[in-house]
Amino acid sequence: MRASNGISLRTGAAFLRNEFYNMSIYRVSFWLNFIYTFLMMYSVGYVWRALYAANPSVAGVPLPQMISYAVLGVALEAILHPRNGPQRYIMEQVRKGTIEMDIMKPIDFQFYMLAKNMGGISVRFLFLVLPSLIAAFFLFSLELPSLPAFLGFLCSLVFSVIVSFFLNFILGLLSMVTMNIRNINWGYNALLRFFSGQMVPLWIFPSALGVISDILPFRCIYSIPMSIYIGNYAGLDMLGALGIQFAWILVLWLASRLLMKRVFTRVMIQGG
Amino acid sequence: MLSGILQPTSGSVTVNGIRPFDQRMENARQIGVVFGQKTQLWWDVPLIESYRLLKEIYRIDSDTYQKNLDRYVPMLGLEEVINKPVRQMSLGQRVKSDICAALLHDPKILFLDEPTIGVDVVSKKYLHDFISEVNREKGTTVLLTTHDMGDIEKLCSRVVVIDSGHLMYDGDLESMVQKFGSVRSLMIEFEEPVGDFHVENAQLTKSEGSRKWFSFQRDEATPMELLRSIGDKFPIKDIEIIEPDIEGIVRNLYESK
Amino acid sequence: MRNIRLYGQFIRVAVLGKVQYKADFLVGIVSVLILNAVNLSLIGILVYNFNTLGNWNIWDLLFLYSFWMLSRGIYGVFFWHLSDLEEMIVSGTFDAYLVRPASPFLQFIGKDISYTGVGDFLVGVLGFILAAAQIGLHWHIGQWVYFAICVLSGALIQVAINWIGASLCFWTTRSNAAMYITERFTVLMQQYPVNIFGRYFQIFVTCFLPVAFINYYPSVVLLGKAAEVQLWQYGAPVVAFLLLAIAAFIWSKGVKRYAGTGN
Repeated sequence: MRASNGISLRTGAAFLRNEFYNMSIYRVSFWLNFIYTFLMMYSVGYVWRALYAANPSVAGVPLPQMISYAVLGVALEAILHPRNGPQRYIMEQVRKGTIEMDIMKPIDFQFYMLAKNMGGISVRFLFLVLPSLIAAFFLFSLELPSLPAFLGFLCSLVFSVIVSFFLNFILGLLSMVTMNIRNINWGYNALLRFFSGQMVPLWIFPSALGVISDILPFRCIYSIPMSIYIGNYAGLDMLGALGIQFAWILVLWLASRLLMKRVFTRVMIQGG
Repeated sequence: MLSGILQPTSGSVTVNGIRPFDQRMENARQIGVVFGQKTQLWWDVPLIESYRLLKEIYRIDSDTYQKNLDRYVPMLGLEEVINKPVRQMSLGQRVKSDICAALLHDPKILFLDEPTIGVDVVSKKYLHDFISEVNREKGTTVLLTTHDMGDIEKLCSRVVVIDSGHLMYDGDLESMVQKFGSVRSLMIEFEEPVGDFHVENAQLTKSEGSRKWFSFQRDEATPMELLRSIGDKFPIKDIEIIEPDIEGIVRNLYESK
Repeated sequence: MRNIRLYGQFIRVAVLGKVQYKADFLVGIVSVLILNAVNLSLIGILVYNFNTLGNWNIWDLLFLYSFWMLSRGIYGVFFWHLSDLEEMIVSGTFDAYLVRPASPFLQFIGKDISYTGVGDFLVGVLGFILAAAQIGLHWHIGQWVYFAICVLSGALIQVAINWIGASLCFWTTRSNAAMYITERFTVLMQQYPVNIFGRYFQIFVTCFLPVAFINYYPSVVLLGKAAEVQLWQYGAPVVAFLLLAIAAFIWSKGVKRYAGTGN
């Protein structure tokens, strides 16, 4: 069944396959990614050991869990970092002046970007994240979660990928109407790194910053799935956390559709 | 290799007595290069700033610099863009700016690499006249690489055709056209559509509505003769003489070897 | 020397070009400030919770970070565009340098200037003042001189590393991806005292990719962080000099190769 705006499972699958093929070509960058991930997983372990040596009980979780959290944060970067998001493609098209061609395709632009992005993410997950997790288990002290935590983690990871997509997509839309996008990117990446809990867990933030991080959507991307994995959210808490992610998905989806409409109108009138 | 960018793998190259690769700096001072597709100028600053910088790089003395500026800028019609950044110029203006830049230091040899690609017809003619003028006045040798027959016709006294390192032809343009561009074409548009017919010394190659195309050998017939013999039979409304293009000539050249 | 004068002219034109984009300048500085604020805050939160990292307290860490920022700022302003070499080789625009009677390297480094380095340097200055005050630094003139030399050496080490990385393009055509990875790795290393990492890491960032000499060893020396400071730990200027020599050598070999392969 194909909708008039091109949204269908078949179309989606076609894009997925396309991205799959595209990504497999860049072998060199894959190996570089591996090396980087391994080095980082190795390093963060040391940072946390050094910190815990002085003060073992400050962070609220035992050291093995903390190291698992940190290593997980590094491994997941391959699919959650903004640099792999749809806005990279969009910005390139804007720079080349060919964004109108994408907008005018007979397919819903957001779905088109989603399909492309998911294709890339699937490839990265299979070829980068999974091997990194396996290596992390054997070499970098990644602990195995309990079964409910693991299932919750998987569900949460899917949610976080979707939240990440919407945020990146909105950034891409903004790049169509502003010239300063490179620097905005930097600023955004920095804020994301801070409030997503990837490097430093959100629960040790001093209270003011902790409150801010609670109301921002960035925690949905790293903090929630990783916290579920190490068992910080169990039972009802886990459902609550998943609920927060789901709520953000709805909000961001709505925001992105509205924004898309306004941006397109403006682009069509002004010619980009 | 002539500009000193590449090193020959065998044999030797000299430009005005200088070996370009070994004596790169010296060679650079006596040549000017224009890459048709990419500008050598600084993108974001007014054109005059690029020229000032080149004056420093080539160590042009102030008199020569000013003289050349005063001469070439009006000649190329660059007065209106002299204070504009290159990124705001059209392609034609950019190419002209690049050519002016390449001549500021009075090079003995000017390399032009596909200078007229994408340039509008008016600017093209401008460039042809300008290059001829410079060549005549200053005795600057101009080395042109191009696919454009118009460039070659208007500018070149000597044509060298090279294929994969082999010299295919070295001589003047007229002889080349005579020898390898022997087949010309005549398009005739008649008052009314006419049926196909035979003409002496020519061959009917295409028929479309009231137009017909005839090809003939350069040494076997002239357009006038053909027109006379055809016009006697059928009233002619319009004609076009189509010369062989450079690709065709070069193809003939290859096939003849 | 003529080359210095020529370089001055290049920079003048580069600044002229950049000044046109006033909005970019402001946003650029702000985003750099945000980036560094985030980095420092993350470290700050960690130390807020854990008090010390090894025998380094929050102000020691701020000193370490600021030291890095000072040298990184200097490097960034003048050499940020080293990674542009890849694009110039791929598109052939590098040829323009070889056709002019001036050093291709001079023309290349003179082609641009970056204001993000200004932001980094600013963070470095502010951070240094704050840290120095809190630690209560009282240096004699010799230490100040050594400090200045090490900041400069740190900048030159970063220049050399990125110069070598860029020059690899002459052989492999594309090296920016590898340089990006290297950059992200070293960025982590610069923020923490190297001695908390394992032995192999320490050897790696001391002997092979000597980023530890950019800010860590000079900080150890100037803050007295080791019980006994070894002689080689003073060696940042020597490392900078050696690395630059290697980089210059690789570059000249690279340019020769570029000309020989009929790109």
